[in-house]
Order: sequence, then structure tokens, then C-alpha cells
Amino acid sequence: MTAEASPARPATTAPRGLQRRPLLTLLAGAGAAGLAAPRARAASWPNQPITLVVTTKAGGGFDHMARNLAPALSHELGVPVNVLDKPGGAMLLGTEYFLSRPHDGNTLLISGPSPYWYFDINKFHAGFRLKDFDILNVQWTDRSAVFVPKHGRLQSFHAIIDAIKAHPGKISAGVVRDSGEFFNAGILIESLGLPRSAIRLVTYEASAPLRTALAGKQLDFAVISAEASLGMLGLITPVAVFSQATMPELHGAPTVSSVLKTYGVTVDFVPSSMRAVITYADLRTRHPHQYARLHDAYRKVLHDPAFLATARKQGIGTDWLGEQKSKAEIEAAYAVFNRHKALLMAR
Amino acid sequence: MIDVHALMSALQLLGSSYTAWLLTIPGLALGMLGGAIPGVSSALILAIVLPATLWMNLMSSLIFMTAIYTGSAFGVAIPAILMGVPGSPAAVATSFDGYPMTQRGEHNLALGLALAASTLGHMGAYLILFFGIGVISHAVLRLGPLEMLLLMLWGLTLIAALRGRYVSRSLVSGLIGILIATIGLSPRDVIRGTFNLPQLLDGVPVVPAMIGLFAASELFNLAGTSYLVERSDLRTVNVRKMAEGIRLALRHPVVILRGLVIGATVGGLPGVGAAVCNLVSYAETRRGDAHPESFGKGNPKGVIAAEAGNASSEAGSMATLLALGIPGGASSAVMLAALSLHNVTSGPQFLDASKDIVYAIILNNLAQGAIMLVLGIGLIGLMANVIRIPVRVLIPLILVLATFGSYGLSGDMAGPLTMVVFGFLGWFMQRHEYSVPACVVGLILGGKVEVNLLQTYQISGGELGYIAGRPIALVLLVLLLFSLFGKPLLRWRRRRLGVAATTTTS
Repeated sequence: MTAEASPARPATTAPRGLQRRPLLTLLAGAGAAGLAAPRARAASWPNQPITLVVTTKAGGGFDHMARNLAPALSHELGVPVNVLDKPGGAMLLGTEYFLSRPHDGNTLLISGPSPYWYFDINKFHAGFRLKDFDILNVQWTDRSAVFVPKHGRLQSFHAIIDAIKAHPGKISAGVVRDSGEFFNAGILIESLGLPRSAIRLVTYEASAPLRTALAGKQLDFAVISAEASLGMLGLITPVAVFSQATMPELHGAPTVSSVLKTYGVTVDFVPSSMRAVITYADLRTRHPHQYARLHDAYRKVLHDPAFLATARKQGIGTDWLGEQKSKAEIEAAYAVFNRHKALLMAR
Repeated sequence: MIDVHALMSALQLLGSSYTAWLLTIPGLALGMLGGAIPGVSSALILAIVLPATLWMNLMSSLIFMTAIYTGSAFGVAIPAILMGVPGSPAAVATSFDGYPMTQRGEHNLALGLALAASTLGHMGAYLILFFGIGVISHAVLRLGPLEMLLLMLWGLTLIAALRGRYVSRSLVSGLIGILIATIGLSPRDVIRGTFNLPQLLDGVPVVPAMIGLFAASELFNLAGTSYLVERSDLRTVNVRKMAEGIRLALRHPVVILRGLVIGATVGGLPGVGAAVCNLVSYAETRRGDAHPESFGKGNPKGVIAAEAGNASSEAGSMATLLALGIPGGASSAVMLAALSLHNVTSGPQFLDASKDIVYAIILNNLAQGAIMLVLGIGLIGLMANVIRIPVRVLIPLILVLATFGSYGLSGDMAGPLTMVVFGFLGWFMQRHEYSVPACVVGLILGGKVEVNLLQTYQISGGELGYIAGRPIALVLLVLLLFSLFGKPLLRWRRRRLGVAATTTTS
């Protein structure tokens, strides 16, 4: 790259030196303004745009939730609210970027404490811990479900379990790697007292290719997030759901626990994914005013009937669990992960 | 096959709603301009306009978004042809022959070819959709990991084809590309070659790396010259020449047809899409040609094949999106979100209940092709002026644009840094005659090949008999083997027969 740029270099070096000075002055000015501001700013906060950092690419559920939330939050706070996608490294990069920003309330995080942060912390050597964050609310929790192809050879959860027991190593099952479903499938086989080689576990990079493969009968069954699969119910059939209660959207598919009970087995499971609105653990003590403004604005949005109606129309979750309950749910999920930690490194 | 009642009501919908038509033109223009900037993906443009579609009705919003998609599919070809820098993996094969044409002073012709192939590929694939959206979408479902593996291996054979003076060096560069593609978390969940940098967990960002490799290697070539086109008499923007390119493309209907069949089926597969279609279409056209060695040196058929494969993949992904509810890529995932904004769940039920809307979208897209032809001539007439810019001004311009583009892709310095690192690699490779395109093909396909190979192994339980039960895979395997060994085998046979003939006569 040096060789081809060299003819242009003499021309550019001279003005570069000249331009540096005004830039430095600008930076110095900005620094001084930054030093003087905090105290005066608290009363009129927020007085600059708020950024929602999303830890996935544009187009996914997290991004969708953020873009839906942004205008409503902006209306409540009176300043623009922007969405910034920082994907990569199983949500690790975006989360670390968020932590590197000033802890002043001008940045909020939309991320997945479970299962993604669990993998980040325990597998990918993340530099953060759950205690570094204040989870304002887990707004959208999805569950895992067992799906079969519409005209596949196995048409019920019972049939699947019986087939695995009768023909170990012959039944293929798809999951997305490093997901809640990867754990749920693993725990399921474990609790039936079978080795992991009892099924042909096929791992996918994302859920869309997995659903396509299942609809095309490339697989016998798959464990996939339930809500995201609703659009394909004509091609794939839910036969069991990893949940405490059945989901009406899944046409009365029984819970995994209720089916396994007939085999005398009890089973652990984790939610498919949690999409949460998050701030810094130290915001409440360091900037109580900012914290209260954000918390109240967000809470108000999630209790606004007009917002709830449009969000539901788009299939976006709108749960208000609050901090206590959100934290409890995440910790409950982490406890299940910890009990089956061997699956974390399973291949 | 065609529901006449729904078709009439679709025509009525399109005839009564002028907003849908009003949105088509800005949609196409937005897509083309965005696509022409290396690094701006159609998914990004769509995600930005998504909130605006809330205020449109369902049909208008889908038409607006498909117009952006259509425009972008052609836009990416412009920098690939004019500067040898494809803005997205979808236009990699376009640059193979498009850029050499520009260097020869045939940029007008090449742009015309690309526009026509893109338009015809787009319209042809939508025409297939019009007659058999259900058939197409279900054909896509028949392709499992084994079939995908074979298709991608086919694309990978391009590595040997894209060679300079030394076959061995282009094989080495292909291997370098494949090795770079293995960096990051493997499909089997092993962290490889990241040096503990979390930024590398998802692997090397392909698009900035690709831009770096191409841009640096081409700019190195240009450093000694003063203009992109050496001969000053050829350094013109000529609409008549562009029209000639359009006519030339029309003379190769088979190449276009092949491209659009590949695009319409393979393009709908999640995670595959346009990035693979253009390479497979190019590889197949090159293989079937009487003079395969002329490809990569400015053969118009190469541009046609690549663009037809790339442009028709939109129809493929719309088929799976509308008929099955499966998004083929990031762009169609945004469209899926737009559908749910309007309280619609796409899939078989939607196809049955709203066939009129589906027909209206298809018909509008057929018209989009014609509109793009007109808009496109205006745009390429404008963009082709790049060749009049002296190289010493153009090089910094391209570098700045590419840096911004790669920053936009990653959202931080990881993009530009990747571009610079791969720029050096590209410069080094070019200098020592290691094929840069071969490396890019390895980089784009390497990871996908590995995923599908692993899934084939997992799904079959390692049993070789699995392939016997997959007729499509068997056909693909035979074709692949024939394309690799067919010609040498025939030559060997002919030689043996010749030897036998001479021995008998003596």
C-alpha cells in the first residue's frame, strides 16, 4: 500500500501539519467543556442524544426490539434516541464496547444476559461479569420447542424418544451451536440416561438455516426457539415446548416435562434467549438522577397501551419484570447452566 | 398454476395504487447508489428505511424494499467493473472479466453488459417465480448440506481457473484464502487462530478483507499509470457503446438462463445467497465455454454470467421468504420484519390468502427491471466518468471510500484495520504473481464449505451410503467430477486411440 500511495504523499504532508492545530484546539475546548459540565448537567439531563447499543447485527430480534423502543423512549426523554449495532463474538464485543463508554446514562445496552453472556463469561474469556450491570428489565423471553417436519417420520415427542431408544445413533437432531437449545437438547438426552452419541446432533450457525433444513426434512427433529418459528408452522410442527406451561401459539404442544413424566424422568431447561434493557451497575449510585429518569421513562413506555399494541403487532415481547425479578430469572438460568457445565465444551 | 382471479385482482391493486409506483423509482435509485459504495450492504439500507415502511401499506412497503434490493444488486457491479473493487461478495465474479474490459477501454461495453444481464436475470427469475413460486420454494428445501457442499466445491474449483502464469501459485493463494477463512470459532466450536483477540471470534470480516485485497492489488498495478484506461482516445463515456453492451448481452441467452436458474434456486438458501450464485454461475459458464482460458482476461460472457447469477438471487430469496417464511439473508430478514410490522406472517398461509399481493409484487418487479434499465443507463453514464479522473487523484479517493465503507461494516476500527492488513497481503501477492481472486474465492467459500462438510458428516453419522439416497447430490457429484477430470480424460482417450491407430497402420 505504501508504494502506490507515495506519488501523492508530498502533496498531502504539508497541509496535514497545518490542520493539526485547529483540531487540537477543538479537542482541548471539548475537554474543558467536559470537565465543567457534570454538575450543571444533572438537572437538565438528558440534554444530548441517548444511544442504545445492540450487540447483534441489524435485522435480528434484538435490533428489532431496540428500533421499536427508540422512538418511544425519545418521546419520553425529549432527546433523540439512536440505535447502534455492535455485533460480534457472541455478543461479547458489543457488551465490552458498552462497558468502555462513560457510565453516565447516555448509553443503554440491549443484549442477551442468558444464554449469550453465560457463554461469554465461561467460554470466551469475557472481561465482564453479571455484577457489572444493572438489568433494568428482561423485556422479551423466548422459549425453546421441539419441532418436526410437517410430514416427517416422527410426529410426536413420544415417538421421538421411543425412536432414539430403539435406534440409538440413527435419529438426527438440529440445534444452533452455543445456544440455549444446544443445552436443552443435551440435558434432554442426559436425563433420559443416554449417551450423547444416541442422537446425530447437527449444529447450525443460525436458526434460519436450521428451520430450512427441518422444513426440507433433512433432519428428524430440531430444538429451536419457539416464537421465531411461528411463521413456519405450516411446514414444521411443534411437538413439545421447554416451558412451565403450554403456549397457545404452539397449538397445544405439550410441555417437555409433562411428556417426560410418563417415562419417570424430570428435566431441567433454560429459556431460549432473554432480550434485556441494561445499564451500568454503578449508575444508580453515581448518577441517581439519570438512573431514575431512564428507569421511569422506560417503565412508562412499557405501560403505554398504544406502544404495547404496536409492539405486540410486530411480535416483540413487552414484559415488565423489573430489576428484582429480571435478576432472579437470569440467576435461575445460570444455575441450570452451571449444573450442566460439561455441555459448555461438548462438541 | 396461475390463479387468474388473483392475477386480475393484483392488476387492479397495481393499477389503483400510484404510491407503489412512485416508490419504485427512489427505491431503485437508493439501492443502486448504496450498492455502488463498497461496504454499504442492501441489508443496511433496508434496516434504515424499515421504520418508514410502517406508514405505507403492505404492498407498497414490499415493493419499495424489493426495489432497493434490485437496485443494490446491480449497483455493486459498478465499482467491480470500473475499479476492480467489488463492493460486496455478490460482485466478485463480475470483477474477474469486467475490470480487464475497463482496462482495455471497454468500460462502456462492460457496464452495458452488466446492466442488461442484471436486468434480464432479475426479470427472468421473477418470471419463473410468477409461474411457479411454490415449485421453486420447495426445490430449495430439497438441497441439504451434502448438495450445498458439492455446489460450493464447484465454486471452489474456480481457484484453479483463476490463474496467472503459475498454476501452483494460484493453488497456494486459494489455500491461503481457505486458511484465513478458518480463523475464529469453528463450526465444531473450537477457537482457532484468534490469538485471544475477541474481535476474531467470528473470523476475519470477509468484506473489508476482500476490499483490501482487491483495492491494494489493483492500486499497485495502477501506480505506474496515469489513467485507468491507458489510451486517451478510448477514455470516453459513450451511451451508444453501453447500448451496444446491452445488445451483446442479448446475444447470450443461454449464459443468462443458466445464471438465473442457479440464482433462483441457490439464492434462496439461508446463508448462501448472491455471494455463492455469482461464483457458481461464472464457474459453470467458464467450464462450458469453448475457450475457458479467455475468461479472467475480459471475456464479456464472464460479466454476463456473474451478473445474471447475482441479480436473479433476489427472486430466489423472495420465493423462500414469501412462500415458506424463510429469510435467505440479512436483507430478506429485514423484509420479514416489515411483514410483521403489517401484522403478516409470511409462509404457506400467506401465499394462499394473499396471492394477489404476491402477484402484484412479482409484476412490479418485472416492471422494475425495465425501469432499472433506464435509470441504470443514467447512473452508469454518470459513474463511468471515473475513468476521466487521473489515477493520482483516484487512488486516494478509492482508499478513503473503502476505508469509510469498511468502518461502516464493522462499526469500529476493526474494519479499516482489516482492510489495511489485507491490503498489504494483496499487494505482496500481486507483486509475486499469486492470484488475488483465487484467494478471495477461498476466503468467501472456505468457511461455508467447512460448515456444510461438518453437517454432512453429522447428519449421515459418517456413513458413506448416505449419498446413495440423495439423487440430486449424485447428479451434482457426477457433474463436478466431469468438470474436473472430463477434459483431461477425453484427451487421454483420444491420445490412446490415436496411438492405437498409428500402431495398427504401421
